[in-house]
Amino acid sequence: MILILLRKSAMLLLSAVILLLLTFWFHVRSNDLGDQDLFLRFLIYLNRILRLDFGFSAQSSRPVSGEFLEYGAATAELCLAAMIPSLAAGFFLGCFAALHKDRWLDSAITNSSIMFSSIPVFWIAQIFIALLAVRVDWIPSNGRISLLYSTEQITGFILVDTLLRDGFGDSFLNALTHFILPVLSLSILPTTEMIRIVRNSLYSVMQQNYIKAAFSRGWSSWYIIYRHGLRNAMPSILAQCGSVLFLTFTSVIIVENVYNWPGVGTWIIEAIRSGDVNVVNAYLVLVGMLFVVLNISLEFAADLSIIYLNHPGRGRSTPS
Amino acid sequence: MALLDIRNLSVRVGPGRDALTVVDRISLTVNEGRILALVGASGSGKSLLMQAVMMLRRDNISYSADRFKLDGEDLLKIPSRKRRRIIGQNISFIMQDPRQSLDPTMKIRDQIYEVMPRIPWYHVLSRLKNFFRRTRSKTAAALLHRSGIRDHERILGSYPAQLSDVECQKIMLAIALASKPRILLLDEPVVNLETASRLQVLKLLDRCAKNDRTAVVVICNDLASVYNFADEFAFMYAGQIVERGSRDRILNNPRHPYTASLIRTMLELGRNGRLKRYLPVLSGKHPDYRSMPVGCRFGARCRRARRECNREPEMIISKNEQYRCHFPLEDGALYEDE
Amino acid sequence: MNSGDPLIRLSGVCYREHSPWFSRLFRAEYILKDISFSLEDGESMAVVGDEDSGKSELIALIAGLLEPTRGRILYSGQTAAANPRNRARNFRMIFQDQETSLNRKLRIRDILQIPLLINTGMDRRERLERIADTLNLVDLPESIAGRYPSELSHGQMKRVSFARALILNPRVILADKSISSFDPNLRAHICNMLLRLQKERRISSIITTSDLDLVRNISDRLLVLDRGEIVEFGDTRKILSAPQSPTATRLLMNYYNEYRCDADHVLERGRKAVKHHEF
Repeated sequence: MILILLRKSAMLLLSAVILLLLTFWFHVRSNDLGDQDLFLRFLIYLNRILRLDFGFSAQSSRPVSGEFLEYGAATAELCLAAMIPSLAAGFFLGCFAALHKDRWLDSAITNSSIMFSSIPVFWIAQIFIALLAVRVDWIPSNGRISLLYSTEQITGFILVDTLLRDGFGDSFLNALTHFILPVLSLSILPTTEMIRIVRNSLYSVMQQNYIKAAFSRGWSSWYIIYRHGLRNAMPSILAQCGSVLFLTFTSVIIVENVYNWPGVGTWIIEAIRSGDVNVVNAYLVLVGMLFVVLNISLEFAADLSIIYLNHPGRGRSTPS
Repeated sequence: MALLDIRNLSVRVGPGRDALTVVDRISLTVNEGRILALVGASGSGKSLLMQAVMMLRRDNISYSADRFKLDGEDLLKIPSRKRRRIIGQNISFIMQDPRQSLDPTMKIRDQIYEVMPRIPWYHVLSRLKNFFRRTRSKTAAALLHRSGIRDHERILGSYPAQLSDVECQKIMLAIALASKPRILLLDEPVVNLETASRLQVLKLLDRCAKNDRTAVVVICNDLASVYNFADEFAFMYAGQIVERGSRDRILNNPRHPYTASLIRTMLELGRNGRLKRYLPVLSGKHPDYRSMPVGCRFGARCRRARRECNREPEMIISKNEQYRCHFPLEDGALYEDE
Repeated sequence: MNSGDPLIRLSGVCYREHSPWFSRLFRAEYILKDISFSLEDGESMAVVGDEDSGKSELIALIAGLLEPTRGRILYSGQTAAANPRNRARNFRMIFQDQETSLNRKLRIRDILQIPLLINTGMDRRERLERIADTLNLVDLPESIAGRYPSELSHGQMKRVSFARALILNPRVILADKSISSFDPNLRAHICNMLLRLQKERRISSIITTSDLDLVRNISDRLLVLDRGEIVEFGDTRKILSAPQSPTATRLLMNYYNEYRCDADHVLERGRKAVKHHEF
C-alpha cells in the first residue's frame, strides 16, 4: 500500500519534471533570454510556476492565472455537466450490453455506439446548431447566458451563480438552456467509450465459472452483476477510465469554439492565433499537470481496488 | 413418484439452422435419496445435459423437452424467470472446477453468507443484528463442518486462491447444501483430486443421499472413481442414454456392449498380475455430431452389430433395466465375445 | 552427450516460490527439498504423493517451466543452459488444462506445426505427413487438422495436446495429472500408446497420477513424495507390493483397501470370469 503510494508519487514527480522541462524549452524558445545561464533560468522559471505566476496576458493585460481560473471554471462546469451523465449512462448501457451479449439488445447498443463514436464532434455540433437553434429556434447556441442577465461571478460556475443570485428563476433557466447543446454534443464520445469499456471488461468476467454458478442458483441478473460481475471487473474498468477523461478534454476545445463558450478552449485558440506566449505557456503547464495528476490517481485507484478486492494475483500460485 | 421427471429433453448447439442436436431426446428420472452416476466418454453430452437440467441460459444453446416435472410441478408451464428461481432453490449444481466456481475477490465467509437463506425482516429487526450475526456465523461454521471442514475460522477468512482443490470442493458442497436442495448435480467432482480427498468428497455425497434424502447426480467419465458409491448408473453415448440400471445389475450383467466395454477396461486395469500389458480398448471413434450414423450410434464400434442395427434401437424398459440395443448381452456374457 | 549418461539426473534440487525482494526476509518454505534421483534411458516413471507433496512442481521443474532454487538437473548429461534445444525437443510436457493450453485462434494443423517450425527444418510436405502420422497415433481423424480447438470436444482437445507433445519424437513425455482425468477408454488407449511408444521407440514418460493401477501398468520406476521430500524411489512393482515408508503404505491402503474394496464382492464374479478368459 505505502509502497504503491511511493511508486506512484515517484512517477508523478518524474512526469512533472519532464513536463516542466518541455514547457521550459518552449519558454526559452519563445522569449529571447540572451546569454543567461539555462539552469539558473530554469530555477527562476520553476519558482514562478510554483507561485502560479504566469505573467500577464498580452490581449487583456490581466494576470494569466486569474484569467485561467475564470475560463477554467466555465470549462470545468461544461465538462462535469457532460461527463457525469455520460459516465452513468455509459455504465448502465455497458452493463446491459454485457448481460445480453450477442442478442439484439447488445447489438443495438454496440452498433449505435460505434455509429455515434464515428461522428466528428464539430460536425454533430454544427448539425445541432443548424437544426435546433437556427431552423426551429428552440435553444440558444451561443455563449453561457443571455446578455440580458448580469454575469457577475461568485463561484465561476454559472448555474450555481444564477441559483445563488436569483434563486430558481429566469436567469437560471436561461443558463440551463444554454447548456443543452454543448453538453449534448460533448457527451456523445465519452458515453460510447464508456459503453465499450464496461461491456468488454464485464463480459470477460461474466464468462467465468463463478458467474455461471451464481446464475445456476436462480438469482436475478442485476444482483449477480452487482455482487460478482462489477466487483471483479472494477479494476480493469477503473484503469481504462482515463481514456474517457482525455476524450472529453480534447473534444471540449472543439465544442467550446463551435458554441462560442467562454472557456479554456476558446481562450487558448485565441491566444495561439494572436501569439500570446504567456497564455500558451500557462495552458501547457496547468493542463499538462492536470492530466498527469488525473492519470496517476486513476492508476492508483485501480491498484487500490485490486488490493481491496484481493485479486487472485496475490494468492498462492500453482504451477502449470 | 420420481423427484425429477424429464421426458425427451434435447439440446441443440449452434446458431439457427446449423444447430447440432447434441443431447438427443433423453428421458431422465431422478429419485430421492439415490446416487445416480452418469457415465460417458468426454463429448457424449453429459455436461450439456446438466446445463439443460439447470436451464442455464447460454449463447447458441437451445433446449426443448416434452415434460419437465420437478416434484410433480410442471416447470414448462411456468414463466422462465420464476422457473429459474424454482430450479435454483431446488437443484444445486457444482461445476467441474471448484476453484473457478468461487468468486476470487470475496472471502469464503461472504460467499457462504450470500447463499444462506435470508432472515425475513432483517432490517426491521436490526436491533437484534448482533444476535443474527452470531447465528449467521454459527450457521456458516455448521455448514462447513457438515461438509467435512474442521478449521472453520481459517477457511472462512481466506480467499479461494489460498485454499487447496479439495477444500474448494468441500466449500462448493457446503454452498450447494446451504439452500437445502432436493437435488444435487455434480460435474466430475473428484476428477482432479487425490485418492484420499476423493474418498472424503464421495463419502460426503453418500451421507447427503442417505441422511438428507437428497437426490445426487454425479457426472463422471471414469467408472472406477464412483462405482462403490453410486446406487444407479446411467451410461451416455453420443448424446443418448444407452443403459441404465442399479449398480449390482450393471456391474454383473451389463446389457449394452458399450457398458460392457467400460466395465471390462476397468476390471482389466484393476487386475493384479502381469505388468506392462496392453489394455482392451474400443476400436473406432466417438461419432461426430455433424455426421451422426444412421441407426445405432454405437454400431460402428460394436462387434455384435448386424444388419438390424441400421435401424435406431428404441429404449427397452423393463422392471429393473433399461437399455438401447437390439442384441443385448446375456447374463454373465461380459467376457464371452472378446 | 555420451550414451552412458542417464536420461535425467536430478542432484540436490530444491525449489521454493520466487518472492519479491522486499519479502525475502520472510522466507517461503521449500516446496521441494533436496530431490536427487536419476532415470535411465527408456525407463518410465510415475510420481505419487498427496496434494501438497510438490509433484506438479517437480514435473514443472523437469519441463523447465520453473527454475530450481538450488541443485542441478541434467538432461542426458547436460544442463539445460548448455544445450537448451535438447530440453525443448526431447522433454515435452502435456498440460493439464487442455482448453487454455491450446491457442484458440490457430487451426489444429498450425498448433501442431509450430514445434516443427521452431525445432526442425522440415518442408511443408514433410510437416503435413508428420502431422497426419501423429494424429493417427493419438486416434484422431486427419480431417481434424483444419479445425479450430473450439470446434473439438474435450477429449479431442486432450488428444491434440498429446499429439503436440509427440510431434517432435521426444525422448520423454511429461504429464501432470492429465492422464487420470481422461475417460476410461481414452485412458486405456493413451496407456497402450505410452506402452507402445516405450517398447517401440523408447519414449519414456514421467507422469503424476493418483491412479495406482495405471502406475503399475505403465511405469518402471515409482517416486513417492511427501511434503517435498523423496520418501521412496525404486522399482514400481517392489514398492507397490511391499512399501517401506508410511507415506507409501498410506497411499496404497487408501487406494486398495478403502477405495476399491467395497465393490469387490460385486465384482467377484467378474474377476473369476477374467481368470477364465485371457484377453
